[in-house]
Amino acid sequence: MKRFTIVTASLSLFLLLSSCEKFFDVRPDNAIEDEDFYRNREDLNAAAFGMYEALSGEVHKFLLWGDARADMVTTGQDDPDPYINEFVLNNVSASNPYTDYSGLYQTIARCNRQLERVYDVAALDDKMLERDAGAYYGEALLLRALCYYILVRTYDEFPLITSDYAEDIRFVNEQGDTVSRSTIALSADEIRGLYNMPSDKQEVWQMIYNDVLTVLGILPLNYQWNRNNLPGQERYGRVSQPLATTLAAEIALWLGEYQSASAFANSPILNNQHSLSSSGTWPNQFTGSYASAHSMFLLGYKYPNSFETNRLQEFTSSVRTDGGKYYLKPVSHVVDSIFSHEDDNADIRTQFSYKTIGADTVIWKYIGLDNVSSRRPPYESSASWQVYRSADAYMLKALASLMLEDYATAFNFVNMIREARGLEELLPEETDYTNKEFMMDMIFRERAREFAFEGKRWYDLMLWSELSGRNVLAEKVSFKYPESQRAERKAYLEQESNWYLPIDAQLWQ
Amino acid sequence: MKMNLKLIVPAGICIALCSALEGRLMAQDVPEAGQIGQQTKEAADDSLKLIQQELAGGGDAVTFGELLSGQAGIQAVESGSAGAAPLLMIRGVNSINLYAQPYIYVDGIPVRYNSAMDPFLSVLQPTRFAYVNPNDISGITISRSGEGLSRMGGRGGAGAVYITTERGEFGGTHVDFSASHGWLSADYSVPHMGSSAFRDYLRSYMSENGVPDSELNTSPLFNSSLPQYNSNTDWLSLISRDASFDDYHVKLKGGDADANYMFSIGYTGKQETLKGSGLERISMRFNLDYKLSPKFEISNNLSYGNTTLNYHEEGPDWGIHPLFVSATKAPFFHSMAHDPEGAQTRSLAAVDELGKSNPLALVNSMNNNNEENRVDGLVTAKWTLSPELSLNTSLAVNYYNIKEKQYRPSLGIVNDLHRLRQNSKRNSSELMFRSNSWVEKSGKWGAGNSFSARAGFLVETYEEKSVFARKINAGTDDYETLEQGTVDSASGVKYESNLLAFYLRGEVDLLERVHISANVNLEASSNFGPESRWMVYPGVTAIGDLLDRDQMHQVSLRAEWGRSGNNDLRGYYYKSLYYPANYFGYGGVYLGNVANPDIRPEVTDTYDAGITAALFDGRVTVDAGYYYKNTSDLITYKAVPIEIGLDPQFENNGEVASQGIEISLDARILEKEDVSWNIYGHVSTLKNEIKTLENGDIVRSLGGVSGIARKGEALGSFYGYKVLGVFGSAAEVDLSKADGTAYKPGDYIVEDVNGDSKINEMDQQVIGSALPDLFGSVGTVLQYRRLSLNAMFSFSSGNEIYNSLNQQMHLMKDYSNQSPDVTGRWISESQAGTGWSRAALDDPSSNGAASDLWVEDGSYVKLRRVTLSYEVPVQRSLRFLSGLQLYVTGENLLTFTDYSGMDPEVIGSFDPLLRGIDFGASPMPRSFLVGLKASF
Repeated sequence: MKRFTIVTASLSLFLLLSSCEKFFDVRPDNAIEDEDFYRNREDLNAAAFGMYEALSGEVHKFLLWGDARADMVTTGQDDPDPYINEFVLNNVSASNPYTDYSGLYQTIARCNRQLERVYDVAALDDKMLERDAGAYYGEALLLRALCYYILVRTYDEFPLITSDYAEDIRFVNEQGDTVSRSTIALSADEIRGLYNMPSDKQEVWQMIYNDVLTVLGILPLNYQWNRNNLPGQERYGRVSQPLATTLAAEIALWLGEYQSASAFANSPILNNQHSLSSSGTWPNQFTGSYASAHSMFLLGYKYPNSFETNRLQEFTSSVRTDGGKYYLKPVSHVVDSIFSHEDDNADIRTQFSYKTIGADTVIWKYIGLDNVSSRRPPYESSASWQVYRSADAYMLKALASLMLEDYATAFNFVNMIREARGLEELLPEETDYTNKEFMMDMIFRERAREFAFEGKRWYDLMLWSELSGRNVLAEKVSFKYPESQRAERKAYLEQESNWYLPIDAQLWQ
Repeated sequence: MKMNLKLIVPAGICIALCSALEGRLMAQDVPEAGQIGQQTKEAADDSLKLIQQELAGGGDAVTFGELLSGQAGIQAVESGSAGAAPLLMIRGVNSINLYAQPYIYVDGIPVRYNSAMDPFLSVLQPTRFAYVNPNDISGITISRSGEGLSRMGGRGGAGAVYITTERGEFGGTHVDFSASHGWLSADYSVPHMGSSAFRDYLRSYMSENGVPDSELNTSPLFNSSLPQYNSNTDWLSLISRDASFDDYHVKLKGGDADANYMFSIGYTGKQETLKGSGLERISMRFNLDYKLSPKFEISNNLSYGNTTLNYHEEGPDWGIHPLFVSATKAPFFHSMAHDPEGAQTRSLAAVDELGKSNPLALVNSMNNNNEENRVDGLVTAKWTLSPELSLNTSLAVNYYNIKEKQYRPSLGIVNDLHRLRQNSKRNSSELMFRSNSWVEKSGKWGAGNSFSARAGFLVETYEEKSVFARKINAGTDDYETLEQGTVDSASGVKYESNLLAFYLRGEVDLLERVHISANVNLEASSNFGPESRWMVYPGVTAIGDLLDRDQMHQVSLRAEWGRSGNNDLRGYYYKSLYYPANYFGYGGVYLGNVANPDIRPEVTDTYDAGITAALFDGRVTVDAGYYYKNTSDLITYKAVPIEIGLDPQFENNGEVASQGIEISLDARILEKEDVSWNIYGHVSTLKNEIKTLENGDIVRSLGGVSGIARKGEALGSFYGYKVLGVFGSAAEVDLSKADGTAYKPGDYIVEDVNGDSKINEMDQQVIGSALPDLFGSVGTVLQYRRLSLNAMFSFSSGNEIYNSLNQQMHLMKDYSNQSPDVTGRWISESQAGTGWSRAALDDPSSNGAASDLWVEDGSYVKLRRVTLSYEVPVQRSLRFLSGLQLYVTGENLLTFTDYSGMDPEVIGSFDPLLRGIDFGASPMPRSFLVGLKASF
């Protein structure tokens, strides 16, 4: 009997152990396993959307970084939220949660992974052509470049992460050998120790510029992805070849390569998919998800069925029942001096960018549904965040031409914008258009109208300072403060190092 | 005829409370059916036996928590919400991110104590043990020491509760019937202002917040001629009620030489003292044991339970919290709508001008409803090969389903963001299949030595599924289904887990002095990867009797060590996983989890040492022990630098320890023919401390209140600011907010921990802990002839409560009615008040941030229940009736506490970091029950 027991027991044990692996191999239901992903084109496409997702949650920060600090925006609340107010006051502390740039680095990490997987997938999926793979590769490279472009103008110091560090970090050790170590096994300090910290900003600028130039050749023209035309959301919700040229033009301007800037700007201007369009369709960029001709790259949100939202309504609406906290509002005396009130406010941008409703002056772009008074429904903050629009190319062309002292072109492009937004053309005989300083002032003012509250003003002031060689930023930004604070704030901003946000990245991990 | 004590206490709870016995009593040993009777008998015969403690006053135990509250070594914190699961704690809290409640083993089958899913509504965790009718329970054992827990392996980390149900007995059919009815009342006194006091306050409040007098003078709110603004409504009394309780139970037992059975059916209906909420339960159980041959026995268990529960928000979703809304809604409003002429109509008043829901709509129209069904089946077969050798196998199937619904109409209820109306449903189920087989051998060596051993393995598969859907903004309030409206949210989750374990256990009894038992449990769970899946959970106990076992007094020493763990890690973190991430309406994907092949269960080592004395033939027993329980490899999020761009990743890193002394006493002081008197008590101390947490502090918040896991502090300490006073004038302000702007006079002075004169997150500190230093219960049973009196007190000391409701009553951040204290708010430099902040709309200075102002001592002593029962003499002519007992029970009649809230028993949340927060859940009702028990 004993023997029988032993035999039975060991037999069942054997059977159990032999089927063990299968027994323990439970498939997760709510996630995709590594071995099932990055197998084909559809996987690449899904991973591409994932890259944008991280960025789309950060747009309220872009508004803080690019506008709350600059001259056109202040706090709406009587007793302002301290962390918002730090941006408005330009004394941001490192513990301010809105300095957390992790969304950008998430996008960078996802782009890096995509870059390293694209050609593996192309090898697996034989229905992908070389140029299809190039499209995905270029998309990831361009989006990553865009992230670094935001970082380089916002932060003083940050690491360059250009490969996929999710599983392993490869680095050169003290012996000079390239080694690879598991990321999860390294301590946070060790990981930070392995970072590639750029020696200067120039290194970052060059990397960004090179990446954008690389992309120019491989991104498909006119949204012909996978030999299909993309639908509207994907045309403008994803980076594209016109974006690459526009971004290249802007970077070239920053780098002082005006000839290149002018040349790159031509491409989107000549592209018949992009134009300044008309003042009548201009608000559609904000009231709809996108507006053809106007839109170039935006971060989009689909509310119906998907319930994707951003925090722009919360930040800019003064209506509590809509979910508005009214954190930010236009600085009346500044916007009044920037926007045109001629011809009975004929400029559509004056009508739509901001509004005075009752006692409140509000940023209207993200809450309005027309240029009168209809607004987005409560808690439906799904206005697109404009990253680049066709108008960018025109404004860049104007600036580049001005820097090349091609005054006529610069003047013409300013007039094109004015006309397209409902204003009269300026007459050359009445305009001192060969005065470089005057023209620069005019172009940046035109940019301020066109791109008001789109997170661009602070960087415009930086660029303006760069191009003009004087600290325009300090001058303009200090103007928004009460008289009593101006001198002190101006002195503070005279230091270029104070233009960058501090960050204590360890607080947010 | 002398009546058996068992009749007094229908639950017939027989508890071996000596922890030294635990090891022998428990785990897959005892409760796997068929063994039960025999094992309990063994325990009873043991010389170390303390007492067969009839659970004093358990006669009215309706819920699981009530049954547990008198037990040694466990703290069961209950709330007055009908159907809410009590919060259990056995020897501290020892997990941060995993399931932290003890498992409940019902006849040997492990059942998770509470659901793994987020509560359907804010914080309420419905009790899942309604299917175990207290009247069917024959034994409860709390497992807390190392060796016993090692048998549960990856489920033992948080302790366990063993429940055995009654089984058939040899003899003719025996019927027990019990019925009871109760009256429940609760004291919903939340101090708030009356109608005219609030009107004065509101006017002053608005004026302080910049509303001009011209506007106030024309505001209808302050117009004394409009009837709709001139009621004096006591909202709290409108939503509360005296509730009732009914319980009926029939149990049939019987058997012959070959088959014994137990069959029971029970019904319980319990209303909550808040209108519209309550619980109904039907349970059924059929336990059958039969012998196919002298060597082959089979036992079956089959049970079914159905519970329906209606409940209300009792957590931090203040807008729909009936109690909170009642306390803060202006008393000058009326519950019914008025027409434009000011005449009262028959329809409920809508959300008022100050933004508050109508409490009547919350309790009458809004509907949160659960229906639970559970079926459990167990078959155990035993083949006795020889008197010393047997083969056993058991098979269990366990199915649980809960349907949760919420219907939230529009009339009288504030909108949830853009959702005017909503209908939500969640349907979840759990299915477990478990097979356990073992061989058992016992024997003797010589005269004084004996041994027994068992070796076996068990296989388990478990699957959990849930689908959730919500539709919103149906056309009218009439749609209570998912038929109309737009889809707002829909999701589904599925979780599977398989478990395999091999175990080897043995015990030897040497020289009639020393008893040693040991266990090795080799277990693997599919929650972990191939490299770290197999865990070894060993345990060993040694007990030495100092005196001969035939002596009148017995003293024994024990030492025990065991390792258990926590394997409830859902999410397959050992694999690289891509998670969904939608963008612009398209389905995106990103790498959410990077494979961590080394991730393994949290490991708990428990060390015990103690002494047990049984004096005067067991009339007095004292047990005292010290335990040290250390949990290492806590699963925490690794601090990955944000530049790597990953979500936080789980890893094993962290250690927490609990230690304490546990003392139990039981004394049969009097044992005479006519009178007997028994007293008993348990007391445990607890010191819980996080030893290491390499990845830094872990903070979680609920309703603005934070709990923290921080090295050197108790797990789940309250985390917030320390308030030192109120700035009386602008000259006194010496602190600024995070942005450098100065505080205003009337703001709270917050302790500037880092001394930078700025108050921000860095100035938060530990401000209390919900874990008690000491807790337990004492009770007495006094019997005189046919009368008996049982009383039980429970107590807790050193625990703190974050009184969130009280904070809400002093916030002054909106137009809520507040505590009368707020007349002492800061109004101006000349009216600097009595220590409360200024009244500022929207609280721009964060005076309402979590702070020590709202942390209170939660110590209490409670007369949990007292029962007086009488055995009715049964006349000989009524031969069919063999016993009749009548009783009266009072529950929660007395509470001694300094706590200012409604009840010092506070659950808060089941999150280990968020215990002990008082969101204004219903207090435990004061109740009176009358009942009868009859045996036929």
